[in-house]
Amino acid sequence: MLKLIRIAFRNIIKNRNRSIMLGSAIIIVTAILIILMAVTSGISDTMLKSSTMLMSGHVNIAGFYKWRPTSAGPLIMDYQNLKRLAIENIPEAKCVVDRFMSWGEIISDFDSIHSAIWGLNFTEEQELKDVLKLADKRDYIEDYKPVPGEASTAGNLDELKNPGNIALFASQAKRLKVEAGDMVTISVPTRRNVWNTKDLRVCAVLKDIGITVWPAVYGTKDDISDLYRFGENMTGKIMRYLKSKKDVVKVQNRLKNLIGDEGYRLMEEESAPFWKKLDRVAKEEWTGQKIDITTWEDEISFMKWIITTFNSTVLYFLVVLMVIIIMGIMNTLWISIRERTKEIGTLRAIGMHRNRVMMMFMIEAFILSAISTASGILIGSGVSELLDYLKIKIPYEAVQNFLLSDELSLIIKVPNLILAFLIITILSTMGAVYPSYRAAKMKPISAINYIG
Amino acid sequence: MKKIIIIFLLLFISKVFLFSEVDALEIVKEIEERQRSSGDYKALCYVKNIERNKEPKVFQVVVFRRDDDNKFLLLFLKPREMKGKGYLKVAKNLWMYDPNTGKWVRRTDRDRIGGTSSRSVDFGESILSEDYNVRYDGENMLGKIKVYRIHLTVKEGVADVLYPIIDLWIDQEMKNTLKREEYSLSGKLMRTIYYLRWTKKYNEMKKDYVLYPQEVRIFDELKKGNSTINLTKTIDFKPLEKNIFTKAWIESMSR
Repeated sequence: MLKLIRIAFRNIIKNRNRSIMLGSAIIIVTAILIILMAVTSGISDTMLKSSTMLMSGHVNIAGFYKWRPTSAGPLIMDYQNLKRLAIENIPEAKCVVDRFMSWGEIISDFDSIHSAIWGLNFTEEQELKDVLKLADKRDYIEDYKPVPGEASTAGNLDELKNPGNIALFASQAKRLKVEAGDMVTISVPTRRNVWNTKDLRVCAVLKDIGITVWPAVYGTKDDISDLYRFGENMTGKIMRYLKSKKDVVKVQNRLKNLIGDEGYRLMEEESAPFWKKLDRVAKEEWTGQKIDITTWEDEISFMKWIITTFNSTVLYFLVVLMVIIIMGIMNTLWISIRERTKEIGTLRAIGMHRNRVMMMFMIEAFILSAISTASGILIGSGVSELLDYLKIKIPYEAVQNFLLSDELSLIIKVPNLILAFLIITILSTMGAVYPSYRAAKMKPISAINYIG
Repeated sequence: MKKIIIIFLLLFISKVFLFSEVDALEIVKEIEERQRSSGDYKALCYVKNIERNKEPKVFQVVVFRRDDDNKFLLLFLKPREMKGKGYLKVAKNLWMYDPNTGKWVRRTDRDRIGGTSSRSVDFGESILSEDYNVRYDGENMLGKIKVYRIHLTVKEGVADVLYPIIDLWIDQEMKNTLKREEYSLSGKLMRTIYYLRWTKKYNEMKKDYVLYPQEVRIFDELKKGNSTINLTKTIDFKPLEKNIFTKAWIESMSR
């Protein structure tokens, strides 16, 4: 066997130009694959991190309250009791927060937008605070010219702890032509269907995060409660963040049992965000409260298509590139076999078995593929790390929304590297099977007499 | 002596307050009675919508009402791209029909008719005296016209009125509403409406004249610069077809 490996090595080195050409192709494909995998991982991780912090806990106690059979609100009554249950019975929880979810119109002196409005108790929301960042003034002030010595950001997110404040994202502030310190009016229909308004001060303009939050703004629980005239015992959703996402299903089931045992009515399981359920619930005949225990996967299920689309694109690229690589390997080996026909004939004549001839060519292809794939992984990882380090800004809003980030984030995962190595090495080696088989099948006499 | 003065004063204040409130309610009721049209109602209207930074748009609409049955229908006739679009309200349920998609969507009274500052209630029968508590706020001048100021607040338990607080300016002599301000629950001014021209038409069924505003200007106070002008060109009290307040009838209009 060692002899065969040695011969294969020598052949690779002897046919240096051909090996370099094929090896380079494999290196490029591997590097591209690694970068694409890093981008997909980056998108997936950013999306999950952002969306769980911004829109959903890992496990949520949500639900609907119906005053009349024809209308429903994403509200839960008696939330203090439910929150207590969650705190006392979920030791896996890192933190428990509750928020209002609503929809309204935000009006400035220049324009208006319709947006989801989150009402939160910001003192409880340390995790959210880590995700939200102040936007650069250039991102939302038209023709902004930086003044030397002046901070590039404005506002203070901590002011969201006090009623009367609201935080907008840069794209919303740009449309409304407002900046930190300006006033906006929120206009919403209350549960009695009458208009109510509130003037709020923009305390912070936040960096855009993508479609997970757009269109959404953050206000205080007190203000949203006052706008809708909600009672003190009401909230929108109790969100629990767990230490490990692995415990989600376990915690969800435990909560269902606990809350069911407390006498609350539970909704049937449906993997969809609350706003997709709202219409159906509004048409149902029942009135009163129903509790819905959801997970982060339910709440962001509408966004899974992004990851699926990207993964499909990567797979498509991979298939196309692999077909090209396999064709290249087959072609190279064909040339190699033709050039070495006499050598094959001699080896066969001095007694080398067909299987060993085939093995020799297969080993040659394997060594070339393995070394090239490993090099490709190193180069791809290096490029990915560099791109991630550079924090490249994404210039187009549509792409930002698609990637859920305004900067390119690439994450290298070891399982992905192993997977890439195995896939490319095995497939490239497989490409050598047929040419090797043909070489092994040659008759020694005709191979020796071959004039190429 | 002091006690007598205080008693007289209190009596005077309570008398004024009591009579004023009754008078205000009577005034509102009287206005509503003058506007009430027994039987069916059909009006051809022009709606001009002005939005800041946009070209003004003009729509031609026809409004059908059968107030006794709580039925209301508004159908767009022009421009061509809006033709066939309609709002149908039966009792408290409002639907909108879009002929481009052929679908009906359930809407609320908050819906802006065709994206304008008008709501369906602006074309419907006035029932302020039923839904609101009425308070007399004294006399005033609106330009050169002497007016009553009347303050309305929505009654406890009444749902689905858009604006819980309304101020009215009523012409003392003609008993017509000249100006109306609508406020949100927090007291923020949402819309100001000016009734520029009132006219009347004899209704056989009512055996009396029906008063209606010929030109109404609605100003969106939240979105400064946005306004709508509603012009009522003609009205008719002839009985309407029975099937007119149905989804099928509206759908047939766009075919």
